[in-house]
Amino acid sequence: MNLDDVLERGLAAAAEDYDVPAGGIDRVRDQLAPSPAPSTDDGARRRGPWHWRPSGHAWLGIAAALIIVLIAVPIAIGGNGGGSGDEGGGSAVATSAKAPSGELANGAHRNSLAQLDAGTKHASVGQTDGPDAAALALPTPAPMRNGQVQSYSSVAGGTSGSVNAPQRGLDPIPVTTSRVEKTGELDLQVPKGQVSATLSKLSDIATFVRGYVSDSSTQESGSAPSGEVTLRVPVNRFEQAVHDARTITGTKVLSLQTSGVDVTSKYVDLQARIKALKATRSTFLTILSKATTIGEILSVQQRVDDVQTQIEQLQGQLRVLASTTSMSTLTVTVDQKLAAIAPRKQHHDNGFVKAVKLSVSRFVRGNEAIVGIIGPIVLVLLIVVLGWLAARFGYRATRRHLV
Amino acid sequence: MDDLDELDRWLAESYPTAFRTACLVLRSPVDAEDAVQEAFLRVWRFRDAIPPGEGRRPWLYRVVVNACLSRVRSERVWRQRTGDDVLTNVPAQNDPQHDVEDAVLSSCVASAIDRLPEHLRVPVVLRYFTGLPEREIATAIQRRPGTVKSRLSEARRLLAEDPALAAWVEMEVAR
Repeated sequence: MNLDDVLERGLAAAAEDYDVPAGGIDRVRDQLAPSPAPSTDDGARRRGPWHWRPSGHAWLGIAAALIIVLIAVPIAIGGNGGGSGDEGGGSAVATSAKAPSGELANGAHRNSLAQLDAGTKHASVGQTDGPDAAALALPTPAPMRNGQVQSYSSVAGGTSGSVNAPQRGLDPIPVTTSRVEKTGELDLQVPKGQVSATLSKLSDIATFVRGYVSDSSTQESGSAPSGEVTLRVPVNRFEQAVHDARTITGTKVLSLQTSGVDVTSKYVDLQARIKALKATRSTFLTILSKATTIGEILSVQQRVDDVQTQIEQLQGQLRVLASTTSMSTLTVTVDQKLAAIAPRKQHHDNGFVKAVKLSVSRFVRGNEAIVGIIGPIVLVLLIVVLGWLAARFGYRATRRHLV
Repeated sequence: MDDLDELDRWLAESYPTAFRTACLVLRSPVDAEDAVQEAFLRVWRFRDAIPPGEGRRPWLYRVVVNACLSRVRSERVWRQRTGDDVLTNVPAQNDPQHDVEDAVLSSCVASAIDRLPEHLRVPVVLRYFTGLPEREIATAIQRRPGTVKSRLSEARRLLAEDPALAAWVEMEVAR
């Protein structure tokens, strides 16, 4: 007798020790008696939809739907992600390209530019100083507390509205109290051979808005000549200058960035400090006039020199600030369109060489295709395996719960 | 199974073995009766899912085992089976002529089986008491036949290390 026999005999003996309850099966029948045996349809109807137990086929369907969703979602995300980079990269160009120069030239400034081209710019200056200039003038920003600097910026002409929004219900702000530094960068693309002409027009625009060209550089050598000019224009003509520059006929705006910083408080603070230092200097000069000894004279004179130095430093800062707030800076870069790539000269290969090249090319393309397919296949297999495991687990759990 | 009378007869015939199987798994006649009753009610309710032919016996024990395991896993059973409760659940010897040898063997085997973990105890009971082959045990416990085989092997190894059972086997071999 081995262990198996001992177990069989022992378990049989142990089981015999348990008396089978006489009415056990009858109690089961009693449990069944009140509720007649329902058919499958009745049972399903009684359980209701919220007690629905998926069958094996239902679990397979659920798993298939899950797989489809799992495949579709990454593809959808990957598709959007892949496209976003290209779109994002070209967004500045695309946004600017929505406003071709031809369309914008239909505005009020088209006439003035036409007059510029015709050499009548001096005659039109006075006219555009009127309503157009007033309409394009930068609205007065809200007053700033001492030491606070308010800034705003825009890209491709989209100036934020926080500063430019009309101040309804507020007291009118004196124009003389606002000091705003404005800067802008504009990239233009011009047809072949139009770089110099465009730079000249930009210079005319600067003159037209009573500004000047502070810096200019051109690069004519090479296949892609380019140029860059820095225009200093009055701050209240900045928008007009930007508008005129971006609507030069034949040009295409690649990108445009403008920014403005309110430095009124800084300006006022400098003025106050200079005023105080001047008062101090006057006091020292009065003391100096009353000094009797050489030591006193030298000491007071040193104080006067120190104050004078501080005054000059602050006045320098004030002049710079006045300059940057009275004249804004617009940097325009002009690039020529790249010439279309010339087609490569065709070499006439003989049939054998052509066949070998074609074979090599197809071989490389085939390998690329295989490598490119492996990734999605692995992903799909992974998802299928996961879905199968989930379905198997769910099916087993359901079956176990059922029985 | 369309014939309800046949189903009723089959369940009535299967009741004693199912009850004792549940007793060996649960080591409690009260819990075993409740488990078998619950299992049989499930069988009746889902009688359309009963496989035809030879497959219905492992299917029945699958339901019974599941009912037993559900009770084992509920804390209520284990609360009842702490300490001396286990001893009180051991059935009394009603028959004064009960063979002493079988009584000793029964006690040894029952104690050894009781010390096995649940996942090993169930296959052993189904194999050595109920008499299910490994394939049907696999169906009953919803595991692969290889898993059943390895569990039975592990159970045999553990039972062979039991001193009382080992001594009993040696005694039988010596005879």
